Amino acid sequence: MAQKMTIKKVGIPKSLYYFFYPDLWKTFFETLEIEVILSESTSRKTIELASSVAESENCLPIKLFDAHILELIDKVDVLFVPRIISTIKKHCSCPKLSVLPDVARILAPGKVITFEINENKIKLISSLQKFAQELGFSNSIAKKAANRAVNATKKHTEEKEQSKKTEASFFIVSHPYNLYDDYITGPVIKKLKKMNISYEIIEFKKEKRKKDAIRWDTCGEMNDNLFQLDPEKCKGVIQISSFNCGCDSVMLETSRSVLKEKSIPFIVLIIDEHSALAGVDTRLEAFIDSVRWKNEQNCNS
Amino acid sequence: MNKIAIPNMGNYSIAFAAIADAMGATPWISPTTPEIVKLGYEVSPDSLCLPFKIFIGHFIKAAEEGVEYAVMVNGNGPCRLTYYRQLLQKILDERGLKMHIFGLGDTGIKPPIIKHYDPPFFKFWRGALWALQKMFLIDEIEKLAWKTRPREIKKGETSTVTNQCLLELEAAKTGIEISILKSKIFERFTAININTDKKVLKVALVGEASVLRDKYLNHSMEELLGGLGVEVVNYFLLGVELKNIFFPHLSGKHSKKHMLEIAKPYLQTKVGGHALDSIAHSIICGEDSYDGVIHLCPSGCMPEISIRPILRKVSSDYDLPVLECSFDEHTSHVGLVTRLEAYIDMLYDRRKKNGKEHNT
Repeated sequence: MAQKMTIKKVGIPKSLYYFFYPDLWKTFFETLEIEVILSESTSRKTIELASSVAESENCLPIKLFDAHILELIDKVDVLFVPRIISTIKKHCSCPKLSVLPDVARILAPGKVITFEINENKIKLISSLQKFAQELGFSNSIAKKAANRAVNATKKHTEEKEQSKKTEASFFIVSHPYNLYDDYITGPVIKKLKKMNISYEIIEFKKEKRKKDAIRWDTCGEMNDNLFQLDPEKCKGVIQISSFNCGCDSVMLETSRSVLKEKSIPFIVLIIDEHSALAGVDTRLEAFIDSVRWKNEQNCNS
Repeated sequence: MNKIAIPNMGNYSIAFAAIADAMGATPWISPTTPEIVKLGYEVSPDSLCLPFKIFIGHFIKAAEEGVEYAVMVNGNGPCRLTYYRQLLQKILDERGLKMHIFGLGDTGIKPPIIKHYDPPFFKFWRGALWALQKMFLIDEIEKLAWKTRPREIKKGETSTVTNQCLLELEAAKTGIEISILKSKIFERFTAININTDKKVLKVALVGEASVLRDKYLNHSMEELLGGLGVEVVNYFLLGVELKNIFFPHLSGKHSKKHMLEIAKPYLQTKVGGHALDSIAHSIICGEDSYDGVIHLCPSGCMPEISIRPILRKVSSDYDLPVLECSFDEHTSHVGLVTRLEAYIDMLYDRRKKNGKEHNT
């Protein structure tokens, strides 16, 4: 019970798991009457801080995580960092996500609260409830918070589904933490809008899937989406990948061969902390031009 | 043609060759060469890790020489290794090379490779036992070499003796021959002239298995350090590894159980690969007052990179200098030697400053 009295403000970095489960953490802690403080959205400043403090061989999203944690430290009582082992049953997450609380504990000793997300063993809703009880809340409050939190994510996904545009020519895929971080994907979307091109962004449903060869959760889902693409409608696929991303280094080969079979043009934009805006612009323009030429040629012949 | 290609695992290749023999196959093992590295990185995706590039290099070379089968470890965790067999197979197929890769691990009691060769029961188990015997002897030879090399008076003598022993071990065909060799080894190493008064540093090598073991990939780090007057301990010991895989509940200093326990204040999950082992071994080194730890991993290795911040914390808590070395196909030998020399100089200075005498 002692914990309940002390936690007034919980800090959640706006990176990685924040984007995995939209709205979930905020609803969860607010139901428990704990004030949630989010770190500020990624900016040039965050990136500079990240590249000066983080392990140099990590990928950009993990580096950004360190910077977001450092930004929050002094503003909050505790930091919330879950241990993500698996977000879909019979799958696993990137190993870098499973050590997050241990790494965060080094940056902010004694300030980290954590629980394990492992759908292989226990459902998210039950583990959330258990986590709330560990924080010192009664059974009923814990249950209420867990239910509300999971429903909030569901609602978020449904709303997104409804607002989806039907006619889209380009498909954007990436991990959720790249996709929903405005600083990373923003320039690409801005450019597409400027060129008046319709696009669709991948949705992560986290549904149970058939047991397939790909055990990484988000990669598997991305791959499934690519399999379902219709070559008639989809003119091209843009994948945003962070430099040195371990999962992507394997999966890009698979994506490439899937799309080659469907003969859908495919571009990979690799981003890191040194990414230049002009470079992204040029590459996108060239890609879209070449797609256009290809279509014109097809029409003529 | 009943040849089977086995990726290079340093001196352990001798034991792997023996087990292939027991299955009735002729092993194809080659030391890693610049040619193999080139073959490897030409066909592999850019950002994959070094072991992948080396594996495919070996397999392509073997396939070009007419070898039709290959074997490698099948991962079953979040590490990229899980997909390597499929990806390697795909690359081989695309290049029109006829080679089938067998995966080891998590394929039931009778893995496909055994099904394929179907060796006679008695012959196989006898051969496997000899292979185990060889493996433990390799460990013994290496341990003696690590101890002797920094103290030798005539430079290079230890390496000569070690290579001679390994050559004889490779040639040994039966259990009796191995036992005879075993009885001779200790004498051979004690015959080397050593400077018993020399104060040597003690440094451990931890990290990813194939970089720790393939002497080409780590630029013969054991020999390099030995030459600089450092007693090396390489923490990837296959015997310990097998024990941890097949008997996970055994206790002991290097057992999985004990490692999980001591690493708990720093790392509460297994991560994958040898990441937990790296942390646990570093802690053990800190407790045993080693002079330093060198962490070796392929550049971009998912599990090992993710635990690096934790390794730094262990380093500062135990007052244990940790040198981090990432390897890829472009790693320069001179650059590595300079880093090692600077690191070792620093360790000597530290010892002088602390007045700390080594207890061995």
